[in-house]
Amino acid sequence: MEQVLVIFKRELKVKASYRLTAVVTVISALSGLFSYAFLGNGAVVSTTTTTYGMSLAAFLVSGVAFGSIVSSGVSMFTEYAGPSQIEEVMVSPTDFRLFILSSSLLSLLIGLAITGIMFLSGVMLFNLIYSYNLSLLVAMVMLGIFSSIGLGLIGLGFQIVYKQTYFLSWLLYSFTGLVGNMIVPVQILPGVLQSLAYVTPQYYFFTGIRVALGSNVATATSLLVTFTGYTLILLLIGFASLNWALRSVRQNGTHAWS
Amino acid sequence: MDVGQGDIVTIVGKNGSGKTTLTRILSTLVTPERGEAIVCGFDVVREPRQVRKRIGVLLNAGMGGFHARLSGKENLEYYGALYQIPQKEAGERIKALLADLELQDRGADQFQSYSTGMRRRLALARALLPNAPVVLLDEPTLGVDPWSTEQVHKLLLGLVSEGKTIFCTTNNMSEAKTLGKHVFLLDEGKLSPISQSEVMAS
Repeated sequence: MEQVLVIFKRELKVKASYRLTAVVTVISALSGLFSYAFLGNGAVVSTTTTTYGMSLAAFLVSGVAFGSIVSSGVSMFTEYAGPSQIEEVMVSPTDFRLFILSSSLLSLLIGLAITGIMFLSGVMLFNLIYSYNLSLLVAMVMLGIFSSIGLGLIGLGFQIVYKQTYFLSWLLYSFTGLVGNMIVPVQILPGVLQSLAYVTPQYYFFTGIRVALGSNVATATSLLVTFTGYTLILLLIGFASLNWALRSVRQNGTHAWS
Repeated sequence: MDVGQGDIVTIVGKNGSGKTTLTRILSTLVTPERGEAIVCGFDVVREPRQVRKRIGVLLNAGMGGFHARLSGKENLEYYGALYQIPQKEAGERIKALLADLELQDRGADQFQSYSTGMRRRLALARALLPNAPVVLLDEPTLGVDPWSTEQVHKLLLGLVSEGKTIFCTTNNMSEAKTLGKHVFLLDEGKLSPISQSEVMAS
């Protein structure tokens, strides 16, 4: 019993030292709760039909299926720069950015394949009706991938310096799950949350996907222009963040942390 | 400190004296706070990519970076790609290195099945894989049994006779004695040469 208590106390101490993680966990849980509360608020069905021109099922399936493309985002590169690997790569002549991008290629392709399978399964199983603008769909998927790479590079920089990405993952995915237009139509959210939606890349991605699938909730051109600009900014910040992180660990020598 | 081509230099020092930091500076991992380090004529801070093309490195945590579920050979093939070695050439070198380090019978086994000493020898094989003119080794025989250690020493001395420059840190004075034509003591950030008799005495 004494041994159990000692172990328990140690774990408590460790957990207590990650105060931010504890706060994030609580807010994530509340965020999930709010997502479904808004969804079940009665007006959802009419919102997707009237605003997006598609049934609730079509709206949800498109959100969940295409979510695979952007879901890994912030943490998409972290497994390739673990504590035991980063130094070995950094002493090789291979550019670290090239290493990261080529290592994650397979995961990106798997994400795309999962999206295709999920979407086609949804369409066939539930007889969902969309009208397809394939060129816009391809463009949105590409922008989704590149914006994810931008976010992934930011997350990687964060991990290299702070040795964790949980906070960023939460910030961008748990929280934006509520305002990212993936499952909950932005239009049914209160004004403040609607404003927040416009600063998330997910909003532009999922809205763009819905427009490519027949919705006229926004004009394709303005979405494309805005999302392209946003993606370029994310990529620039991402590469800058990674460069800063690599410089930082070179200065303090904390590449490997276990 | 100047190290000429075909020299082997051994750095000894207490834990925390900076041996690993020195290796990490020379391998471009850490930026020095002051001073200058030149490898093969290239500055480690201003021309890190040029330096990396000319070094093979065994880090103190050098057992890392291997995938547990890949074989020793597959892991080395992966690093061969990172070191930009043509596939065929890498395959030949890997075969020779596994034999030199007595791992030829285990090359096809998963890395997770390797003992500590075998993992260290595989890490050494990785450091030697690029066939670089300068080899930086941070405690190369840490955890390696005495028989394999002898084999490693023979291999390193053989490389020196081929003209490779080896920079090696160790806590093991016997190793310093075996390897070191030039032995330096690193203490409180200062390097001082020590003679073979001093090495033997310690």
